[in-house]
Amino acid sequence: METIVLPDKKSSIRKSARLQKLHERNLYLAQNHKRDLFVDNAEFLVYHWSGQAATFSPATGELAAAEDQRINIGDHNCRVDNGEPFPYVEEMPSKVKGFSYDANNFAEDYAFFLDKSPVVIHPYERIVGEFHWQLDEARFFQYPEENRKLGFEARKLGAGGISFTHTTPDLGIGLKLGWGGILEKIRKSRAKHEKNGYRQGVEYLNAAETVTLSIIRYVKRYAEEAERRARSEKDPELKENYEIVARTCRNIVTDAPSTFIEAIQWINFFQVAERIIGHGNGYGRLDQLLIDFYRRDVEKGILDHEYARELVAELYLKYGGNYFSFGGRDRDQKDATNEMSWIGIEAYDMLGGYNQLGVMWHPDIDKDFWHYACDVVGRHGAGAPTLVNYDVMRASELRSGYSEEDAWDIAYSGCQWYCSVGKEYSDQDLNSLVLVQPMQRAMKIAAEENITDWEKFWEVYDREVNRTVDVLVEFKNNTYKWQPKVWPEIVTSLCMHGPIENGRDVTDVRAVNNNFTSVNVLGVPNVVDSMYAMKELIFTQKKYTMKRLLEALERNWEGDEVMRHEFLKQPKFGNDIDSVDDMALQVTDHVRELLESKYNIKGFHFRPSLFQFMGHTYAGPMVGATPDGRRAEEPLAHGMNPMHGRNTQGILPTIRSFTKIDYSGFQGGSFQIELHPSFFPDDQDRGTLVELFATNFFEMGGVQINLNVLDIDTLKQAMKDPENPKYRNIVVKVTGYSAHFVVMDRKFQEEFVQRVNYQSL
Amino acid sequence: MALQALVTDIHSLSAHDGPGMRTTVFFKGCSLRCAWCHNPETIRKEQEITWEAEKCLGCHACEMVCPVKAISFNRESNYIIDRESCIACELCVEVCPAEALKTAGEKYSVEELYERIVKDEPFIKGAGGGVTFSGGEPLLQVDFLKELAKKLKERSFHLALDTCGMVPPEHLQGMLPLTDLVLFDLKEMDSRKHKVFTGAGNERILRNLFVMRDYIRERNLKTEVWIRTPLIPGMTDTEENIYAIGDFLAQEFSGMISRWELLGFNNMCTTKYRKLGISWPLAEEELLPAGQTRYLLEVARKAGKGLKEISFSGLTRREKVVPPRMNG
Ligand code: SF4
Ligand code: SF4
Repeated sequence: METIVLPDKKSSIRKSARLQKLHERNLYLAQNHKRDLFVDNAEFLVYHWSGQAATFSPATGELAAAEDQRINIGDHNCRVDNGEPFPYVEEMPSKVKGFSYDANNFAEDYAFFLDKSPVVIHPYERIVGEFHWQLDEARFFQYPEENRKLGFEARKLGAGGISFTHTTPDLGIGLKLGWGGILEKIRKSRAKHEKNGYRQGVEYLNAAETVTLSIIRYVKRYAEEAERRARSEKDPELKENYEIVARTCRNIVTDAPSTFIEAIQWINFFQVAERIIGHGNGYGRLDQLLIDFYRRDVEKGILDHEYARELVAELYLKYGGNYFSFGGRDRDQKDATNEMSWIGIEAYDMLGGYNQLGVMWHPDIDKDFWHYACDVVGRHGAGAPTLVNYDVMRASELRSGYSEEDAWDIAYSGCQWYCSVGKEYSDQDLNSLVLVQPMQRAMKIAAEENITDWEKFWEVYDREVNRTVDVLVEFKNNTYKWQPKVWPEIVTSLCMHGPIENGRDVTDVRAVNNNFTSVNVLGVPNVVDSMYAMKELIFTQKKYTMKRLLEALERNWEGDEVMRHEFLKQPKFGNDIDSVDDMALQVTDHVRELLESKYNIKGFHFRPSLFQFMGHTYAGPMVGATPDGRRAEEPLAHGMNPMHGRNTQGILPTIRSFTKIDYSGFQGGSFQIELHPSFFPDDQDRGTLVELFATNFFEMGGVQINLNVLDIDTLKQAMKDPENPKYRNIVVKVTGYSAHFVVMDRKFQEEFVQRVNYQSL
Repeated sequence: MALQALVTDIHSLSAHDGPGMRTTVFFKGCSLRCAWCHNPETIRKEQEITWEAEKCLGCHACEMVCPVKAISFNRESNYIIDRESCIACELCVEVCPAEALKTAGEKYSVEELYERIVKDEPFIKGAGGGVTFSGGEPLLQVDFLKELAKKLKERSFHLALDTCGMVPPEHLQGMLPLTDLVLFDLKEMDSRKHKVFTGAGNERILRNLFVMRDYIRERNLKTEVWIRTPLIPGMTDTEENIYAIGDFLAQEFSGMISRWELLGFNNMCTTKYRKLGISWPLAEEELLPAGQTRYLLEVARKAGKGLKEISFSGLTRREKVVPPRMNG
């Protein structure tokens, strides 16, 4: 997901000198490429499967892609690069004793790897724990050949995906039990399965025990190192810090955290232990997780609002983009906002910049808190926190078949996805269906078979989408068969409801209550606009034949500029025009029904998601020109957002088109807007306007809004690099005008970036 | 026949036409001819065909379809339209594949325009905004305007009227009870200059200011008034003019005017002129330097002592020195 960060933040919350130092280090890491995250190739972004690594791109090691080939998708990583590969690769147990696809082989590697991961404590830190390598840099992470074959077949037909850590564990389990309690839970469960003769479960729990013991050793090493430093440190301030770290770590080696700072530290250790196996979970509702610790400590007089905020900010700094959410409703459907919700957003307000926090709106949310969250979005302009609609998310879970009990405790967890905390392994965010491709096949068939009737053409389209979905289903099911053996997510499983009890990894069948597969459908607005234009010009007016159109597309419209414009001129999604918006409903309903009719081997159906984080910028040349008048080199539309520059009527008609879709039928679909400060009236604060926007958008049924406010430097970059898709959607506004910045006259652009009046906003 | 109006544009979420976020309706047809006009497509009261050179593919479809042969192309492939003979049948617009041809001015019934505005309701009301009638000169279509305003008032929209003042006084009076805010343009105090810049002297405009004042007082209306003065380089941006306007307002209207806005000139509408095939003398004119606007704002504040709020808004040219806050 693209966010653009303003260099100059406006926040009235002051940082302590200690936090300032930590913040500077964090910025240094981000700006100096120490937190970069890579993918193997552009195919990964389009199909969510590179054909090489079974994950994002390992940074070093055997399976790492060549430096000049991999794509840097930004400073979002938790891993802190130290410029070297893992030094003990050759000593990994799987290298020495032999590799096999099973949980214990994995667990042994994990334990060795964690034991060899150094203790990293920086001066001034009170929350510690970071890592330099991920396990995929040292252990073979690749599916068997049969699986890769299916992957390539799926890609041919326009689909792909990896299954990997996109869920939301319930950290409440760990905060209650501590590592010792978790260990005990594992052993009890193992004894039960032993008695019942469930061999596989016993095996799995052996692996879970190995992993948990290594984490306990890891925490203990931190305690020891901090104690050692506390003893030898002369500087009183640093000494005090080390003492705090030592005490905190020592108290939670096996015991459950009992204070606020211990809870934060526990969460960070969990994140490290989990993230070290690869990229990406959400971590749930931070305000719910911490509120009891907070209240208890405040009552005891050992904590206040400000210090709690500082510690949460420190937790954020440990990580490249935090996946926590706030607000929402409680079990009784009452507003769940509490003092920790404020603290969580204030902590971000102190830091600003890139983050992935989410605030879950609903009509009964605490008005002041909601206003504050919107104000933060407006002031920092970096699209954080992300604003989401709790009620629509919950409705979509219920619609999919979650129980009421599982659906209420939902958390926004990443780009566009959300989870029932601790109760689902819904494989989301990293499956892809490039809807343009089956449409293109249908067009070829229509030309060959001389189909001149729209209904018939739709039947062919339906058949082709179905074909793509079928290969995807086969690929995913094969992946699910192998996943618990190839790359079990044991640390995640420790904080889930089910895996330890059932003796099955979270990735396995019947481990948790909910196991849906969600698929990011890419290029939907392009398909909508294309289908509409074809329906009009080929099937109704019969102005062109399908054969003629295919020839023009083949040549990327070259020599057919008049014809291209006729296709371009047809109504487009995003302008509140019912005829073409109805096509959007038809296309999205269709793909939804199709996916919902397919089941994975876990017994759950597939679901569509109307968003994809970056694929649209790379997919253009891969799929070629399309009947919506798009040239091959142009990107596809971003998620369900109208195709760049085709929504010519302004933001409100776009929102109206966008919200004609019932998002409770989908697993997410975020609305992107980039606004220039000039958009805001001089006499009104941005927070009020962001709030107005977001509230109305949600009342109209939208599920997520990503709102960025751009600064002048960004506009300057846009002038230099107008073809960059990142800048295509910037809308600037002056008296009586609003337009996409990159398409404006050069002169206009120059004058615009010279303006001074709006800078004082 | 039901009332109809010609509208060139409806602009949602406008931040600069009154308080809050507003939906601004641009009516077609104007009673002045300001040299700096920002919305040249609203000047003539008839529908007009506009042509965008950048989009034109040179296919000549428009030329062929025109029933009255109003379209031709010169040797440089530039489109030429004979506006006198054009009957606005829009056949050329329909046939143009590239959307290079468009019609400026769309017909709306009261009901249609009302429905369109109401769609924006939650957004504009929530931001303390409303609806602004602009143009052109909206009061040229006053019957339509009153009908529309009545309907919108029933739904308690905040209504603003952006007028150049060059209208029959009874038109203005008729709209005042339905209007929450009048944005009244006062461009130049010297009537001779006013005539040169806008095609008409300012006597009637000044008279209408008094008419409006008396009407509001006599009827005890709550109508607010903002005065707006465009700062046009080499024309209205003189110290004398700003002083004269400020002095005049302070003398006669100090209790009634809640804001006087100086608006910075920009030439961003150049492309609009190009589309209409009009050459615009101000196309190359630069933005005012920030220092000058600052100075004029000082002059305005001095002369307009007693006026509630005097502000500048718009774009200015950046200078070496860092300019201070200019917006209010
Ligand atoms: S609107 Fe009709 S009359 Fe006017 S130029 Fe176009 S085709 Fe000719
Ligand atoms: S029809 Fe359109 S594209 Fe063709 S010549 Fe006329 S203006 Fe140009």
